[in-house]
Amino acid sequence: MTSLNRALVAIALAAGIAGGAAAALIVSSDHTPYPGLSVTMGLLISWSFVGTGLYAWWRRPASRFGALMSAVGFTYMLGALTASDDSVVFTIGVLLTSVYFVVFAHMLLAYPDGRLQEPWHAKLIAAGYAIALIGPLPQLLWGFNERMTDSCPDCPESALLIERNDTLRDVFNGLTSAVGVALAATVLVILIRRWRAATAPQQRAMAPILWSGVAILVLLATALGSDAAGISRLTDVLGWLSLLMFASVPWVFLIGLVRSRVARAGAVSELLVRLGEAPGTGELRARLADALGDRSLQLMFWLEDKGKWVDAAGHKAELPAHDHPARAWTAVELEGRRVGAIVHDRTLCDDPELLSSVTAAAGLAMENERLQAQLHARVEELRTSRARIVEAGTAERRRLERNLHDGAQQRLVALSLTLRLAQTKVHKEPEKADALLAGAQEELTLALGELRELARGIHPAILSDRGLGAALEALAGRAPIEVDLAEIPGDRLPEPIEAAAYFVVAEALTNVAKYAHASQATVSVTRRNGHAVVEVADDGIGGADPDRGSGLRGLADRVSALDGRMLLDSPAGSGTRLRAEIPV
Amino acid sequence: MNDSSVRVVIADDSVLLREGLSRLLEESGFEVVGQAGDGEDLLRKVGAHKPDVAVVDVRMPPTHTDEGLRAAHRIRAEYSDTAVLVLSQYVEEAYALELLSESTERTGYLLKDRVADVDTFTDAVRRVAGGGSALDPEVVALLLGRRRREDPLEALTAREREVLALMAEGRSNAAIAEALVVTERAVEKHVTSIFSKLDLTPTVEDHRRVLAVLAYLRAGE
Repeated sequence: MTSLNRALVAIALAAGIAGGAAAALIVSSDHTPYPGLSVTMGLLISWSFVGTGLYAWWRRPASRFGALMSAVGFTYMLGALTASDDSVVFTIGVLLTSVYFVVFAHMLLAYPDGRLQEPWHAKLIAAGYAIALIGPLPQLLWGFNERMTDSCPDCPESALLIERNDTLRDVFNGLTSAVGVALAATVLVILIRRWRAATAPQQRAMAPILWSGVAILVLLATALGSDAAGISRLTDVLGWLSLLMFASVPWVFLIGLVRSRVARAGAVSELLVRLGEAPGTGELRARLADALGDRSLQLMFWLEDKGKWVDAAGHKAELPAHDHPARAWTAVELEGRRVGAIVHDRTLCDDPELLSSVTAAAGLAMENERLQAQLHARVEELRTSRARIVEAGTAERRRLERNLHDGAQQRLVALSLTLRLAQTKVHKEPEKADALLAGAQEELTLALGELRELARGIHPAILSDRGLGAALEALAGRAPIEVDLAEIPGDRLPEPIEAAAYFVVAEALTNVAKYAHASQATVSVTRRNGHAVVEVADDGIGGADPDRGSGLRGLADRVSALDGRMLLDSPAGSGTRLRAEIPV
Repeated sequence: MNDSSVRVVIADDSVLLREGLSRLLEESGFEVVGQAGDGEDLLRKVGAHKPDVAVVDVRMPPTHTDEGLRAAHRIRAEYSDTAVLVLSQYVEEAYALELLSESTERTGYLLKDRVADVDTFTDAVRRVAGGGSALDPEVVALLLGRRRREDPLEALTAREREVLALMAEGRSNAAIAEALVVTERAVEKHVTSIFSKLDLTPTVEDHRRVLAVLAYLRAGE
């Protein structure tokens, strides 16, 4: 037996003994009109509270709700002290007779985890305890009122009686009753607000406790009001009604608990059957939502290779934070491997057994949907990279157009003008014409040079003529830093791969020259395990940002269009190593 | 050599350029004996006319890649009396070095733009026709400009670098002297100094000298 179980058994025993003592007190009393009825009602109410509370305590040891419920049962037994024929014990009994009710209100406010949510709720409950103790004082100090003496003519005298003073008593009685009504109304408002703010599953879970609590509060507040107003008949009826209602609370709670367990167990077995019928058809979410009774339930899938969560459509998704007030998530595993997560209402955390049986049942179907989500994510990725490639192509065309327009084209226009001018002067001023033609020649040389460089940037002829090796040698020869060609394949690779490899090296060397503060770079292209592996390493400052500029991004797209991948390793202070792996 | 005796075949797939070159060369006193539009055509014309020089564009049909270079290699192999001057749209040192690696005799590689500079161009044609070599200054600049570890070229003076560049272009001492406006004697002294600094074996023959210089520059890759 665990220490918790031992403690619970001890508490149950204590409840039994205390109940026995209370019964004995009532039976031996000479001023309790219906001792049998009183003992039965009293024991029924207090033991059912203690018992249900202990059950809830045992089921959810982390929650203090069960403890509070048991405390209601124990404090309710204190009322039996009023059966004592001894004046002092009787007086203490009267003082403590309403305490149980504040414990009950405390329990309502602390639902479901047994903790008060706001600091001022604790103050409110403290005020409740105070008013419960002060409430009976006017009658004890200045004599019982008519209703009291009518219902209990043989009750002992109050040990605290100073003198009979109906006026003082009624004034203070009215005052404490009013404060009591106000406190009860405040608790009522809090409960109703909480109901409104709750999600559907939360409402379902809190309904039995909350509504019986609300009914009791309303009845009691009315009873207090009618007592203050002196309508004793109504007070009696309301008092009895609220007592009946109060007696039913543990049973309502228990029935709700059992029913939800039965219903949920049914939901899990139904889920198993339905998942078996048609696994992984995209209806998994709806089925899990049914089984867990949470229509807001969402599924997320784990993509191991990307290290990210996605939804069923493959879009990147975020799990709710651990301290999220309304949402929580439970991981789903298959054969020890994480496949996804169920994002659900936080109330479901109160039922870990249900969650674990549902996640266990959902593993295989989740894996199926995960594969689909993975496919969606890949398609999505392809779509965006394709869009980027198209965009890069357009940007490149724009750049070329601008270069042509600003460079060669402008020079040719100027040249055309110069030639025209030279033509007009060729007969009359041959020397001037001569000078103009010389200028035209110069302009033309520049235009040709620009066109040559432009053409080389678009696609170096040597790459298709002589292959990657020769093209890389040419590239190395033009680099502003020392480039060591460590290894280059002797045979030709397929043209798209050679082109991608060439531009990877070209862009990498441009970046090295621009940012790396390197003195030397090493380029190698090797064939390894069916891949062409392109590596460019430098001895610069490192710390390169893979997202910097569109150059690297465009290259990564180009490489991934060939099913390859690009890796950048650039620790600050120890050089940069860019590596592209392209399947051949 | 008398220009009128220099017989030229021109190969280029652009009729416009072919005609232009033809006119330019004829005006400069060369005799254009044939024009070709592709590599095969060129080889036929060279075989038929046995010209002194074939001026060949690198890019020609059918593949538009390096037909001209391949035809140049075959001319060098099959018609050793015919010099070859390759014209290229690109500054590709790999093409030039490939062409000039075996022998620099009767061989040249020029940027196509150079044809506009008539003197330079006709000088290059004459040089290869006369058994020498011609390498485009831009290619030479590229070879000289390469970054090398412990670069021995850094030991050269500015003037020596100029001389080295002109040597690599295939110019004789006399031509270098003329270009730099110094005496031939001064050029000879620079050449000796360069060869000793680069640890090369001195040689008198121009084409051997170019070969040695190019081999040296290439080894620096």
